[in-house]
Amino acid sequence: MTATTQDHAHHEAEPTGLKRWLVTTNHKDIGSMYLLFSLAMFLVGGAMALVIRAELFQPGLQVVDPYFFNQMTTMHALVMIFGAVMPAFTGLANWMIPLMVGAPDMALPRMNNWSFWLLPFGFAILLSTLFMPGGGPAGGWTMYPPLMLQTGTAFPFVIFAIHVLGISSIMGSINVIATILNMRAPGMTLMKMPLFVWTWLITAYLMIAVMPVLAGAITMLLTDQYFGTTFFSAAGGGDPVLYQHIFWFFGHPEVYILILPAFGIISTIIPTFARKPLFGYSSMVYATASIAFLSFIVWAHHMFTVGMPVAGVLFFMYATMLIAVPTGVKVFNWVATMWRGAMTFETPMLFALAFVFLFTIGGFSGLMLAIAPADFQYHDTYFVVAHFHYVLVTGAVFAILAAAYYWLPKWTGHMYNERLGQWHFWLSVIFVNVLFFPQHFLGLAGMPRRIPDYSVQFADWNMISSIGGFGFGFAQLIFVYLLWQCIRGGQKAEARAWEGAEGLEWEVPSPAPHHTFDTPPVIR
Amino acid sequence: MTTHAELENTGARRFVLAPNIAPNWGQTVRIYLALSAACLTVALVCTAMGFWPVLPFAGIELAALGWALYVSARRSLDREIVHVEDGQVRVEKGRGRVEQTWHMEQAWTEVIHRQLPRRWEETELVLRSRGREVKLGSFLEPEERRSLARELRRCIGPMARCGDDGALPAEPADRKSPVLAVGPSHSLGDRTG
Repeated sequence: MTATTQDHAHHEAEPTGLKRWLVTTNHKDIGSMYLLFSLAMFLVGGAMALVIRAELFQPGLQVVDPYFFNQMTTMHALVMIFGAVMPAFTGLANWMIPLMVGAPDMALPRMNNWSFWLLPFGFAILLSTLFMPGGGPAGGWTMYPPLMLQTGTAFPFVIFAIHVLGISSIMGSINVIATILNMRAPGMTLMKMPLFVWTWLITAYLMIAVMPVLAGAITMLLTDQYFGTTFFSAAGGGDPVLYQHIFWFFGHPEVYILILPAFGIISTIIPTFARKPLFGYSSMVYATASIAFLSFIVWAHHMFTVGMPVAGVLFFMYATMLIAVPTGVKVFNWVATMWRGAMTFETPMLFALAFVFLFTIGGFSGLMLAIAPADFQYHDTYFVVAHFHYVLVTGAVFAILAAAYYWLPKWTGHMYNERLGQWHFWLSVIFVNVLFFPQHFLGLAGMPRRIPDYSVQFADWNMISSIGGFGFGFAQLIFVYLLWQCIRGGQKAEARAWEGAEGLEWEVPSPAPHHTFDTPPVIR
Repeated sequence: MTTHAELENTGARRFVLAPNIAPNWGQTVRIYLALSAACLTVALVCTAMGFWPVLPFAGIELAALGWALYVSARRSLDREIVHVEDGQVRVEKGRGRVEQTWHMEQAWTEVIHRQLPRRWEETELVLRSRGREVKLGSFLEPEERRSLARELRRCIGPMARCGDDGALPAEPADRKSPVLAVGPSHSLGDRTG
């Protein structure tokens, strides 16, 4: 008997038009939609940031009224977290995880379609609240009661929108877990998976574990407002501080949800451009899992000033400091991977290097904030704003940009314009530091966050920060143009677009065909 | 995934159709239990502190995850086997065991690969004989289904032995129903594809 596995000639007859995008169940289509949606939200959230920086350009009230300013700070955070960063990572997961594990598609393609299309629906509701009587939410993205309960007509719409976005995230996570566990090509054991897949598996685990807490917390806000419950009302026997506890029980793992996939991306890109295998693969996996575990037991470092017992403060302080250990392992491994590597500095590598350097700065300022007695001084100042923007912008966003440059040839079939990429990188990295580094000084000098006006001693650094903000914002238009140019045409990309790239995604042609791995690849 | 085997001496052919997945049930169950333990612990602590609304959300979410894992893992056991030998076509379908068997005459069976109306991008591959149809490869990718249809046309149908692999054969004159039988519960062989 002879046995053959059929070799399939692909007859490309892909449907086109709006319907393709509405009803598609193809992981590449859905990944592209996630990424484009994320880019749109990045620009919307960025525009909100520019409103904030325009108002803070000098002391006094010039551009917007204080209430609208507070709406901008709240919506900027919600849009960037739930609309830009999370969907970007989900888009990358959709595009790359099936390719990386040798699966033909995500495990539940129809659910995949639904989880994407919930996003525009949720954001249409959320953004529409800006035009409702009383305006949009203005109590900060953390939605602390009783302040949040003073929101006008928008309140139930905000809660509903966040529920919808949460459902979308949950469905995305379920799909990622099912794909990784059940759709891997034969022979691809867990410890043979690319690190991006590993970090996403752990991210999805975190999301599944903490999303019900967010859903429960905002539902209790809703029932407190409309159904007479008093979960967070001291007048009825509730406790508003407990809202902070359960919010941050969700919120701190959420921070790692926003950064763990970035670790996976950087662990993919650095070996490619250093032309060396990743140093310490298994220690990277265990470090990621350790960070995920620790993320469950550090939430109260966000609220050292609420008046916890000293034992509690000490526990959360030391637990938070422990996170530096696995994070240090990661940074060490990235540096060790580059050590004596034959490095080249194409745009993805530049963004990855900037990530390693600048994320580490964000990590160090995090360590400063972890010291409880010092945090009493830093709490709710611009130092905190500087810290989390170093983690989220030069961390998560830079990793997403690095990933976009790295995989654009695989997605579009064209090489991007390297010169424009370099311009984009250098302008971004310079302006982002002009934007956020002075905020450390402002915070240490005592400038509170979430204020539209400030004392004159903060004027100089605020002006510099605003110049950095506009510079960074406009630099991103280069990326939009580059993306458009790359989609339309350019130098044809080879299947293995980068000389040192490893992994199954580089075994398929560029652009990746609509359907890949009909036959599972052999993993050695 | 389609595996095609041909017996060298007899000319008998066998096509094994399987989804392109190879889950590890034990590993999936262990990871699901670990995740459930973490999620439920959090939800129960919240409930104990009076925040009971967290619990139903956790329950719904874990049920959805369990369903998703079960449905996607169970698909790996699906098999469809087409035997072509001695002028007969035998189709077996099942999940882990043979659940249904169809017998058709090789010369009076046609291979139809058609676009479904109103279902974008979906195509359907069926074997039709004497008015009865057996659907094949619903879990395959469209390109793979097309390729399989081409292979099947080379060995099934009145013109198959003339080397025709494209044109549809004429409708059979004799329209007696094919034999439909629920087969014995024997193994479908290699479950990992």
